[in-house]
Amino acid sequence: MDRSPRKSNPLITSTLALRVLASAITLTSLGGMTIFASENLHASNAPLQPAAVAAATPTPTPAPTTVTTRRTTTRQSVTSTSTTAITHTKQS
Amino acid sequence: MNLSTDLIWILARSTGTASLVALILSVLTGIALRTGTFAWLSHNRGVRVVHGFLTVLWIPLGLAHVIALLFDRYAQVGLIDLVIPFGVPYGRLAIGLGTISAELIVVVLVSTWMRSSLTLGQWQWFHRLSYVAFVAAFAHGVMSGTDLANPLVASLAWVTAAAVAVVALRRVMRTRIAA
Repeated sequence: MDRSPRKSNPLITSTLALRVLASAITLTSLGGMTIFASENLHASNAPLQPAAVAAATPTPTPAPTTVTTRRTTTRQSVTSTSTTAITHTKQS
Repeated sequence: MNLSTDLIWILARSTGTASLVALILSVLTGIALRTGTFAWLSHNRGVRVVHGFLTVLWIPLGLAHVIALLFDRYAQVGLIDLVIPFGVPYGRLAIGLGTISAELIVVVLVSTWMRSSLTLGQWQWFHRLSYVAFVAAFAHGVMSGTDLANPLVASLAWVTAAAVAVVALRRVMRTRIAA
């Protein structure tokens, strides 16, 4: 039996439906990216970091390494002996 | 948090990505007119209608992206940068590609509106500039897009770009075979 090739019908025939579909894809990406961008305002891994931001937030320079040695101060106190002074009176 | 500055920044990013999505759809439907790639989805007349309709979507989004960046104090994009590419002090190549893309799109649009006064060959050559504009816009998005640094968004962008490349290659192959 000879079978002639049958042209399959497309999914969407309405041009209005196609326009709605295209709008939906675009507006979903707009809405989605708006939410995403508002939740992630600053991306540290973004390819471009604006010059103004770079100037405002200087890159952290390595701080000079200061070796803080524990300094022990020994206070030399004068030991005072509180002994009662003995006064000798020469008795003649 | 500076509300207006943040709003402009969010608007610039979201409109930039959405206009790229609409541009990808426009290029895909444009190529599909010849190749019949979307024959399973709709008839050629429907694809043609959508291809024309998509300009209504990506032109306002692209304009909003550019206007938002003009007002963004961090981006530091001036009016002159919209005309002369590679003038922005930082991200010279990335932002310059965006300017080139916008200029080529304007040429394609003007040639489409002037189609009746052009020969078919002239119009086709002008219209083929949309491929270059798309590549420049995509490179601009990848090189400067804050959101394309996200792996999920980046993978979506690369998948769609690959789809455009496959459909374009299919069209080139068909043209060669027909010739």
